[in-house]
Amino acid sequence: MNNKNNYVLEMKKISKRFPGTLAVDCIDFNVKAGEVHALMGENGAGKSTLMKILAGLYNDYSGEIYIAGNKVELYSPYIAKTEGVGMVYQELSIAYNRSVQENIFAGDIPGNGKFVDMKKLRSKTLNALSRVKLDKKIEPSTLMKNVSQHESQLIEMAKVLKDKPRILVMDEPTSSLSSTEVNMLFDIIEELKKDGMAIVYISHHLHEVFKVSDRVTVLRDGKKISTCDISEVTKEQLVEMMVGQKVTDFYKQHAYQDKGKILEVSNLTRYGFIHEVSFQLSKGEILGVVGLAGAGRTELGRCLAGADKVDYGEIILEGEKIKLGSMNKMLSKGIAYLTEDRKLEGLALRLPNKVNILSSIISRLSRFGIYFPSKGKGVLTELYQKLSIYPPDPNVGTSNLSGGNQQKILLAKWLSTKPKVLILDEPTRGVDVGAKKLIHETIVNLAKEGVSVIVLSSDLPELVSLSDRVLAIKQGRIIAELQEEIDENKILLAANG
Amino acid sequence: MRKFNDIFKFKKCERSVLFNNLNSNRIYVFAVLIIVIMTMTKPEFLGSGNIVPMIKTSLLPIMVGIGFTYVMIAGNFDLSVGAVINVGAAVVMGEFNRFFAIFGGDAGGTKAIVFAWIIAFAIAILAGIIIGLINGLLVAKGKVHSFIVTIGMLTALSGFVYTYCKGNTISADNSLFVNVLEKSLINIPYLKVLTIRFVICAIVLIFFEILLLRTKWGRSLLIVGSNKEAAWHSGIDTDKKIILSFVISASTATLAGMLFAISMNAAVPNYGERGINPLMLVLASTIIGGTVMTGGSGSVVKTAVAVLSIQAIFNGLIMNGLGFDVQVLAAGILLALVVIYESYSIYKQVLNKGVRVAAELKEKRKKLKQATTT
Repeated sequence: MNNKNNYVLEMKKISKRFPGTLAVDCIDFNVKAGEVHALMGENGAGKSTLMKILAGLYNDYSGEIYIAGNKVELYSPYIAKTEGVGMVYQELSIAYNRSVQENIFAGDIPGNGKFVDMKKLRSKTLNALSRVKLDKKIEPSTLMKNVSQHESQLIEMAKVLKDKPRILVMDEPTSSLSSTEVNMLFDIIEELKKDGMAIVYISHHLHEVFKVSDRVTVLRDGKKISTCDISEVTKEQLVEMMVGQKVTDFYKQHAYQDKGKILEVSNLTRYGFIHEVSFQLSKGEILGVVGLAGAGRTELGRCLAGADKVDYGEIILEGEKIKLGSMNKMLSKGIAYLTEDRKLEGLALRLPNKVNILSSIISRLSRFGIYFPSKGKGVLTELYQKLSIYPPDPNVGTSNLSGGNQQKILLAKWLSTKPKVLILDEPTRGVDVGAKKLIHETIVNLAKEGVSVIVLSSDLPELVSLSDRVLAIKQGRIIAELQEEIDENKILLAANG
Repeated sequence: MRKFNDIFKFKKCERSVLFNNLNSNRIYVFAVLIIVIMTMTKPEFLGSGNIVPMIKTSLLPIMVGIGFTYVMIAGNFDLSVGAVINVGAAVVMGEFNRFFAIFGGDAGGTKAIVFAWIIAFAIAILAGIIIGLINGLLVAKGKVHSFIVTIGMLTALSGFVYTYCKGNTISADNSLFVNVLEKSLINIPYLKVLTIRFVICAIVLIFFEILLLRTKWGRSLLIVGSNKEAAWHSGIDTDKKIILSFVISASTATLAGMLFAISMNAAVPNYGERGINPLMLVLASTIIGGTVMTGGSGSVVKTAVAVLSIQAIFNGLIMNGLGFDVQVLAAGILLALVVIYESYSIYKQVLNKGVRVAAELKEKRKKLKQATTT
């Protein structure tokens, strides 16, 4: 037994390799009983991967894990669960058509013999709900689809807690909560701490970490930077640890001159997602939009592009009020939106590249309703040169391309429409460094040509190097605007509100 | 103006709770409505001479609907049921004739008849179970879409039945049992419907309703259908549940086909290929009966009520002097309406949720404002 330090969880020299990258590189991590240990880092730092190893989702990690002093091998979610690891996921897995009680006790519904005992199920559910202080608010038989997001998060927690785990992992538990709800969550965490539970708390929100945690571990690029008591560090120090040394002038900052307003958005609202968002955009400006997960960043982009229905609000493009409508309509007015999920929403992977690129301008290449793909040859060669897409043959199937080149194809698809306003949602997600640089150069060149670009991104260096102005969005509202001397620390602090 | 709009929408979403409850039990409202309309146009509609045959013809689709509902609840489709009915019918008849001959034919007496029927029953049900297993394994383990698997199965089985019957109608060589199955137990006008076939059907229906709603197994199946991923993370063996749902579907369809063939004393290889296909009838009934097309919610009894309602529509149309063509049209329009309505209500739900969140936020802001002013 080597739990002389009272560690409930010890992870020693944990590594996990994904094709091409070492996602987690030799990390030591431990948690005491009755402690909240915050895990911080930028996107891609390895937090989620480390915790997924703990939850048993990967069976090919290297290193040793001890729970309460005993060595365990967490090769499946079920083993992890029986060893006492409880994980509240960022994306909730909810059976929306079923009731609260069935969701909590899915897998082991109480009853006598083969039959379900509804009374027992109800009382047990109330018992589980009381740990998250919902027992007086929610009737166990309510359908899950009629429960609010905040409540379903707590219900998910109740579901994990009913198995009496030793270690509770919470991955961004507050991403979709309002401040009062966050305080309620903290009360619950405080109570669990008193019961001696070891809690791992993953969050981007600095003030939450300072409020709730005892110790903090910072990861960067798959490596552990430091573990320290929360009382020993300041906000600024933490941010510096997360961001690391500045990659100075990796891309040249785009010098932008005001060429006049092109887009004016006022009071754009989609109930439950974005609320009364107003901003202006100049010609040739690159506007960065930053926000934590669930802040409404993507939703803003989708609403502007007409992909989602807007409940009210106005969009004025070049002094002309646009009737909010479909994506097609917006495209014809010159607003294009590049989705963050290129595989699901962006590209038809099985089709050749030329079809993918030209798919957005079919009507322009048609005469009298007949489509002439040969007319698009000029567009294709131009875009292929501009973006140096490899392989340079437009007949190749898109699925054969690397992630970076697929992203270039997606960008080419929207560039072919010659947009006035280009909305890019995570333009360089899952893209190698070379392609990233090229995409960034393309964006800057576009801006020089007078196209206005809105970059929605969670990649801070990207926002710093590209944007002329950054809007921070939180809970669907714009909470800050950064104009001059943008750096990562400022953006991170702004996004945290 | 906007304020007014918000308040209006908020109230609308309060109303939606009542609406949701009504919506989940819509089939009962629908059934009552049809009965009222049909009785108003033709009072004879409620006569025992009309009701009894109507229920008797509904027994086949009701039985098939049980398994079909199970599969749909688990999030899949079983389109092979149409052919499985014919397999059940043909196999039970064919095997009876074969074993009846082996046991000595009419010379063997009642004993030979009973034994032959038992063996034929066993073989037919076994065939059904095997078909269900193949479907289920291909869907759950082979990860092939259920549409493809079961349509393939449908085609293959149709071919099998034709070969098995050699294109002919098969009748039992001894019709003793046939009469027993179809004879009314009580000779009172409305209760004439109580035949052994009816009783079997009712027992199976109630058994599967209880299995679905009152047992751990059934409840787990509902969760699997609602969110497979969540169910798997909760330690439910999702593959096993899906396979079993297909087995139930194929077995109930076989049983339905067997009972139908015996009561008619004829197994027709192309039953359902002309006229209203039992598959389409069952599909429509399951959806109209409130089973969610993506899985996770539904009820066997509601499907049965939906079958009866649709039969009542057909029946009423005939009584009002309309032909077969109008029946098919009516069934099609009804199904289309329900499907459109389903997708509309999903859209509505999302909208309501958004409006509600906005209303909650507004309330909070109001409270904050009050707190700051005082």
